[in-house]
Amino acid sequence: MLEQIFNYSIGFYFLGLCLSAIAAFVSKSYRNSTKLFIFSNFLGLLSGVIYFISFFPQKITLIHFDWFLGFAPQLNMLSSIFFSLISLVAIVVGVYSLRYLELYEKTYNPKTVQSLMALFVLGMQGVFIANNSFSFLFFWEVMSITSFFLVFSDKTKESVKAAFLYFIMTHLGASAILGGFLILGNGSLLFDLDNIQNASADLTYSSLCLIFFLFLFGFGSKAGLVPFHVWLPEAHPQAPSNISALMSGLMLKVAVYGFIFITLGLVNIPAWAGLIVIFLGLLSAIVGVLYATMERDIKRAFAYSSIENMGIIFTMLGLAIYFLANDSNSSIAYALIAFSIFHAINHALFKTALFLSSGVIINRVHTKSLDAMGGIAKLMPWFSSAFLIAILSSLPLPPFGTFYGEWGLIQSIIALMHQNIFSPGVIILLLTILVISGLVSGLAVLAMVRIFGISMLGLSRNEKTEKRSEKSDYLLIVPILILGGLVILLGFSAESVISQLILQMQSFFSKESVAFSPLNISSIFIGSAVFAFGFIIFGIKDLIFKNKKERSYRTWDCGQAIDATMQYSATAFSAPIRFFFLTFIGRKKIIQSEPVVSTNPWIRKYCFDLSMRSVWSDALYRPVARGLFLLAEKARLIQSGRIQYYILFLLFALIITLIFAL
Amino acid sequence: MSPIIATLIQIVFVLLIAPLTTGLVRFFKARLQGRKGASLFLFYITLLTLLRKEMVISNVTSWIFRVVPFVVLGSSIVLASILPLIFTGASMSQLSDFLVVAGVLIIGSIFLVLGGLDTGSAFGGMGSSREITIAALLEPIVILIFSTISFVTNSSTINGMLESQINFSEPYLLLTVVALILVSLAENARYPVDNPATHLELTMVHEAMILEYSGKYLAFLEYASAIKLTVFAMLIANFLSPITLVSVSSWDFSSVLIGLLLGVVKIIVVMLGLALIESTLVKMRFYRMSEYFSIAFVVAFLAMLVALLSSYDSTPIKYYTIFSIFTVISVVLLFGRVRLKAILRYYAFSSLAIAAIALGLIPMVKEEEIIHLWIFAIFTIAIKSLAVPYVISHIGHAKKSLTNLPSFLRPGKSYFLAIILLILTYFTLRNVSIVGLVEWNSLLYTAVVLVVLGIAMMIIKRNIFSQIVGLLVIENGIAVFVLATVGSLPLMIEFGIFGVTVATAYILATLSAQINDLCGSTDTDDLCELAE
Repeated sequence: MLEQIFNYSIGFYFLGLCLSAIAAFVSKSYRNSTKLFIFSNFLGLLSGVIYFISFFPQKITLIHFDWFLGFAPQLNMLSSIFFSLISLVAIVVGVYSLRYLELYEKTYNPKTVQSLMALFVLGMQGVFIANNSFSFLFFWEVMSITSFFLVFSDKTKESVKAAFLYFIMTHLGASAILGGFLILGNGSLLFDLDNIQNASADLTYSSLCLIFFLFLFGFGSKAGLVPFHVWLPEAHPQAPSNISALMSGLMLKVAVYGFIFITLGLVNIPAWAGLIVIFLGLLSAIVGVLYATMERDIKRAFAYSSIENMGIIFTMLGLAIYFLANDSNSSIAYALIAFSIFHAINHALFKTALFLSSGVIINRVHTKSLDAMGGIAKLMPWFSSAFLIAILSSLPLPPFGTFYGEWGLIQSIIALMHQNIFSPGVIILLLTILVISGLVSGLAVLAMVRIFGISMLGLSRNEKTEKRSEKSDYLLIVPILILGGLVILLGFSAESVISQLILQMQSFFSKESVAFSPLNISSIFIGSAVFAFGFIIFGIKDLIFKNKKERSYRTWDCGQAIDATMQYSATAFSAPIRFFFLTFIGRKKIIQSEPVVSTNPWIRKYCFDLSMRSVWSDALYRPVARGLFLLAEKARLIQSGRIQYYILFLLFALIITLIFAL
Repeated sequence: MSPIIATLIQIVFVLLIAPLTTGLVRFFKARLQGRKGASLFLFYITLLTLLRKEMVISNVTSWIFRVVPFVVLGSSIVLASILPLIFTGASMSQLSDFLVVAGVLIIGSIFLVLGGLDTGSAFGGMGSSREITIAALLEPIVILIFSTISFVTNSSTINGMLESQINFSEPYLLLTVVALILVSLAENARYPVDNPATHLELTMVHEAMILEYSGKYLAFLEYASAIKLTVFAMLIANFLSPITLVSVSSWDFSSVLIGLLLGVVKIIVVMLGLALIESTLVKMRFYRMSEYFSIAFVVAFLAMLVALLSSYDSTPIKYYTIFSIFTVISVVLLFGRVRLKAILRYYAFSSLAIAAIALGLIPMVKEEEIIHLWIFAIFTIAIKSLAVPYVISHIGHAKKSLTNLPSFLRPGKSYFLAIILLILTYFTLRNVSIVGLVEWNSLLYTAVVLVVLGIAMMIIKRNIFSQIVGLLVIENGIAVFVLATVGSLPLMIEFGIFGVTVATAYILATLSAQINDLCGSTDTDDLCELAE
C-alpha cells in the first residue's frame, strides 16, 4: 500500500515537472507553471519522507521499463538523501522565483526561464533515480544542457561567452564520465550501476586507474575542483539569481553524489588516488577562499566560496578513499564520508540562501559590484537579518550545522593521528590538512563578513539604489529565512543525523559491519545553550535600558562632512590579505599620475587600476588554447577547397580502413 | 554543591574582577614607566559613568549597530562560563570543546567588525578590516595549539585537557603555552598587535571599531574586552599550573575559597607579565603582522611536531633539543639580515638559546657538574647576549655607514643557501659516526651547523663588521660542541673563553671602526686595495 503511494508520488512528481515545463509556454502567465513546480516538488519531498519513514535504508526499485533501454528508476539510501534535499530546496527556490521573475520580466523571458528551470530540476532528480549508465548520462545531459541555456538567459555578450565556456567544460566532463562507464561496462552503454563493485573487481590495475581519473575529472570538473574550475566563477554568476542558487546549491551536489556513489563503489583503488583527491581538494579550498576574499563581484565571490566548500568536501572524501584503500581506520573513513555528506547538505542550504540574497541585493542596486553597494541594512531590516543568518550559517560557527562538518574533519584528523603515529608520511599529510583547513575556515569568515559588511552596512555607495519598502518583497525574504532556519535545525540535530549517517555509510559501502563510535559532542546542548544565552541577554536588555537617553547625530567626521566615497571599499577591506598572500595570487596594479596643467608639475591627477590576474587561466588554459589554435591553423593547410584533394583523402581513408580491417 | 553553582560562582567572579584586571595592567604599566598611575579601581568608575551617560548614535547606522554590544558582551560571558577558569567539571564544561570556543571567539569578532563597518566612517572600516584579518589568520594557530593538547590528552574539551593534569615539564606544553600567549595578545588587541591606549589611526584596531559607540553601548564593549582579557589570563595561568583548579566533584567551602584566591593571584601575576611585555615591546607595523603570525604559527607547529615525535619515539623530547632548534633558527634568521641591529639581536637570541641548552642539560649530568652548567649559562647570557652585542653596536653606532651590512646575496637567496647548508650538514653528519655521541645527537648537529653557517656568513657578507659576527657565531658553535662532547669545562677555562670573546669583539670592532675612519669604507672589496 505504502509502496504504491510512494511509487505514484514519485511518478507524479516527474510528471508534474514535465507539465510545469510545458505549462510555462501554454498558460498565460509563468506563475501557474511556477506554482505547479512548487507543488510537484512538495510531492518529491513527500516521497522522500515516505522513503525515510518506511523503507530506509533499503534500495527500492520503483518500476521496470524493460522495453525502454532497461530503465528501472530506483532510489537507494544515498540517493534518497540528495533526492529529498533537492526537492526541499527546489520548493524554496520556486517560491522565490514567483516574485523574482516578476521583477525581472524585462531582462529575462520568465516563461523560458521557468520552463528550463523545471527541466533542470528534472535532470538533477533523474540522476538520482538512474539505474544504468545510459539513464545516468541522459539525465546528466538534461541537467547540463538546460543549465547551459539558463546561463545566458539575459542574452548579453558576457553571458553567452560564459555559457559556452561552461558548455565546453561540462561536456569534457560528461565525455570523461561516459568513457569511464564504457570501460566499466566493457563497451556496453546499459551498464547497471549496481554492478560497480563486481565490474571494477575484474578490471586490470591500469584500467582501474584510468577510470578513476576519468571519473575524477568528470565529477571534479562539475564540482568546480581547481584546476578544472575556470567555468564556475564565470557561469554561476551570469545566470539569474534563482538559477545561480540552483546551480551552486544543488548541481554541485549532484557531482558530489556521483563521485561518492561511483568512485567509492570501485574496489581495489590504489591509495595514492586518495592522495590526489586530497591534493585537489586542499588546492580548491585554499584557492577558492583566497579569491572569495578578494573578488569584487558579489556573485563571483559566492561562486568562489562554493569552490572552497567543494574543496573541503573532496578533502574529506580523499582522506576516506586513502584510508579505505589502505584497509586501516575504516571506521574513521566512513565517518569522514558521513561528515562530507553532512557538509554537502549544509552547503546546499546555505549557498542557495546566499545566492538568493545576492539576487535581492542586485535587484536593489542594479550592479553586481560590491564597491557600489552599501546601506541596504537600513533600507531592508528584515532582509538584512535573513542575509545575516545566511552568512553566519555558511561559517563554521556553533550552533549552525556547518560547524559540525568542520568539527568532524578536525576530530577525525586528531583521531587518525593517534592511530597512525608510526607512519611519518601519513602524519605529515594529516598535519597539512589540519593547518590548511584551519586557515581556510579563518579566511572564509573574512570573505563572508566582508561581503555582508560592505554590501549591507554603512552609507550607500550608489545613487541608483531603489528605496522602496521591503514589504512587497516578502516572497524573496521568507525563502532565505527558511533556508537559514534549516541550517540551524541541522545544527541542533547534528549529533543524531551524523551518527545515523555514519552507521548507514558503513552498511552501504561494506558488507561487514565496522565498530561504531558515537560522537562525543552534544549538539542539542550547544544549540540550546547558545539560544538560552541569547534569550537571557534579550531579557536583561530591557532591564538595563529602561531609561535610555540617546540622540542621533552625524558620524564623527573630523570637521569635514563625510560621504560614501570615504568609506572602506570592498577592495580596501581585503587589502591586508592581498598583501599577505601576494605571492599566491598575483595582481596587476597600475598607478598613473599626470599633471593637470602641464606647466605645474605639482598638482596631479591620479589613476588607480587593480586587477586580479587569474594564475590558472594564464598558466594552464592559455597554453592549451594556444596549442589548439596552432593545430587548427595547421589543419587548415589540407582544406584547400579543391574537390580533387577531398576525393584523394577519401581514397586514403578507404585504404587505411581496409588495411586495419583485413 | 552542584556543578551549576560552580558555574554561577565562576561567572560572578569573572564579572566582578574583570574591571580590576584592566586596572591592574594599567597600574603596573604606569609603575614600570615611572608614573604613579591611576587607582586600581578606576575602571569600575569609568564603566558606571558610561552607563549613566547619554548615547550619541550615528544616523547612518542600522539595527546591527545596536545588536553588536549585546552579542559581543554575550560572547565574552559565554567564554567566562564554559571555560574551566576556577573549577573543572562545572555544568557547562561539556561546551568547552576547543572548536566551540574558537567559534565563540570568532562570533565576537564578527559582530565587532560589523559594528565598525556600520558607521560608514573610514576609521571603522579600517579597524574592521584589520580585526577580521587578524582573526582569520589566528584561526589556524588556535586550532593547531588546541589540537596538540587534544592529541596529547585525548580529550577535545578544554575542561578535559586541564583535568588530565598534564605535565608542565614536557617541552611541547611550554611551546603551546608560548603560542597561546602570542594568540592571546592578538585576540585581546594588546601590544605588539594593537595599542589599547591610543586613538591614533596608524595603530588602532580595536579602538577604531568602537569609535562611534558611546554611553551604555561603549560600557558594554569595554566591559566585554575586559572580561575577555581576564578569561585569557586565567586560562594561560591554568595551562601553566592545572593543579590550582578546583574539581567540582570533590570540593568544600575552603577549597572554593582557596580557588578564588588563587584566581586573583593568577590574574595579578599574568597582568604583571603583560605590563612587562607592553613596556618592553613596541607596536608592530600592521603590514609586518604576517611575521608575528608566522612566529606564532611556527611555535605552535613545532609544539605539534614535538608532541608527535615524542609519542612516535615514546621517549619524550627534551628541552635541550628544542633550544638547539631555536639556536639554529635564530642563526638562520641572522644569516639573511642586513641591518646591524637586527643581526646583533638574533645573535643575542641564539646565545640565549645556548644558555638555555646548558640549563636543559642539567638533569642529565653528574651532581658535581651542575654548578658548571649554571655558570656557563649565566655567563653566556651576561656576555654573549648582553655585553658583546652592546659593545659592537656601541662602536658601530658612532658611524652611520655601519648600520647596514650589505651582503653579496639578497635576503631570499641567503635563506635558501642557509637551508641548503642545513640539509647538507645533516646528511654529512648522518654518515659520519662519532663514537660515544649517540645520545646528544641534536647538539652535535647544532654545533656543526653553527660553525658552517658562521663560515658561510664570513664568505657572503662584504662588510668587516659582519665578519666579526660570523666569527662570533663560529665561537658559539664551538661552545655548543663543548657542551655536546665534554658536558662542562673547568671554571678557569670558561672564564678565559668568555674574556677572550669580549676582548676579541671589542678589539676587532674598534679596529674596524679605525679602518673605517682611515680609508672611509668597510667594504672588503675596497679594503683589498689597502693591502697594495
